[in-house]
Amino acid sequence: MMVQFIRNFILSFLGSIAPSIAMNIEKRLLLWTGLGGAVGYSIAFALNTSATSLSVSQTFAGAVAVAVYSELMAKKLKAPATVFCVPGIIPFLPGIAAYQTIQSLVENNIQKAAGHAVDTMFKAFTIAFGIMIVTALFRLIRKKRAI
Amino acid sequence: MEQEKILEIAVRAGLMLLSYGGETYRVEDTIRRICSSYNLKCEPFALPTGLFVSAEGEKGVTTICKRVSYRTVDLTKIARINDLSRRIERDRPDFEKITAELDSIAEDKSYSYLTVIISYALTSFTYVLIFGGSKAEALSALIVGVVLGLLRHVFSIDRSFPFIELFIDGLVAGILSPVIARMFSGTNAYIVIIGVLTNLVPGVALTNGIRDLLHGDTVSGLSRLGEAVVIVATIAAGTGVGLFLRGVFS
Repeated sequence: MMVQFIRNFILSFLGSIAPSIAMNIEKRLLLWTGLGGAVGYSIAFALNTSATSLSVSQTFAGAVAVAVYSELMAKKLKAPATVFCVPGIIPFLPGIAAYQTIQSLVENNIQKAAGHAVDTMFKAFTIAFGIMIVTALFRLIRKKRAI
Repeated sequence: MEQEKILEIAVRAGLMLLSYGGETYRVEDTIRRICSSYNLKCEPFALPTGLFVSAEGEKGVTTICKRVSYRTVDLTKIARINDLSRRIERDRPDFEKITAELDSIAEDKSYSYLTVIISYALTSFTYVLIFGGSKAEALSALIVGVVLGLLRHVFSIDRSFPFIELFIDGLVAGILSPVIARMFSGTNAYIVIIGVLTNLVPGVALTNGIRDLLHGDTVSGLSRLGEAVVIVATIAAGTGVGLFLRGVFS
């Protein structure tokens, strides 16, 4: 299990770094964004180590972890939180589920398509909601401190 | 500073944010912040495809409407514009200084083509492993990823038809993945295709669309979701045709 944990950590680290290069991330932040994705994915994985793919609740936990990490790092490294958030959530994104939806539709397999579509929308909504909650909380805390 | 100049800076910064993948609320916030730093009342309205800003000052009402034709994600530029808008709020620099800074942000160069190609290959390789593929499948995806990275470089010359680019990317992935996967024994071409397509699928657009919706920017949110659906459908059409062609010729 420990081996699998380390394997997932490294894979999600690379899985956040590699696409963020295509999104032109600042070089000084490259390793930090990778760490965000790896921490988030590891937390999601730790919640249910036997699952083959992430469930909605695991995705939510991961998104919240990534968002908290992004807000903390934004303060520390003086960059907007989005810069950490966008690459960090890439390992969770349901892009492939969206592709599978259309593919199943083309194959005329409506039931499979419906399953993938629900999966896509739920996960995308969950991730967005997780980020939203954390951003709102951090903004509240900052405003309270300012007063 | 005069009303037109303030508005020009604000609109330019907002337009750049919009075309480099900034969220709708960030675009509107930035414009509002720049205008209010120079005591100009303004009302911005941003959509993924365009921007309206109306300012109310001593010279009456001035409105600017700008269209965004090409959109990409560039995190460095978002960070730099965000930083600039905060500095404008704090120091209120003059017009020339800000335009010079905006010029330097626009010309800010990204990673070299080689690095981008490596990142495409690495993304394909990593996601095949994350989706539970074998090492042979990951290696085949790596090769197809290199080809997609080269294609991105080729298409960077002319970006007037973004969907053709996605269709051809899908087509190439659909044709090449089974061919290359067959060179190794015991590989599943489907996992290779999925790993390679991770480079293209609009996961970020999908999530940003819902984030916009949750922010109350309903129009932008829905149009971003619509864009994501069209992108995914184009890619699927490309891979579908590719797989079909390969079936015909083998």
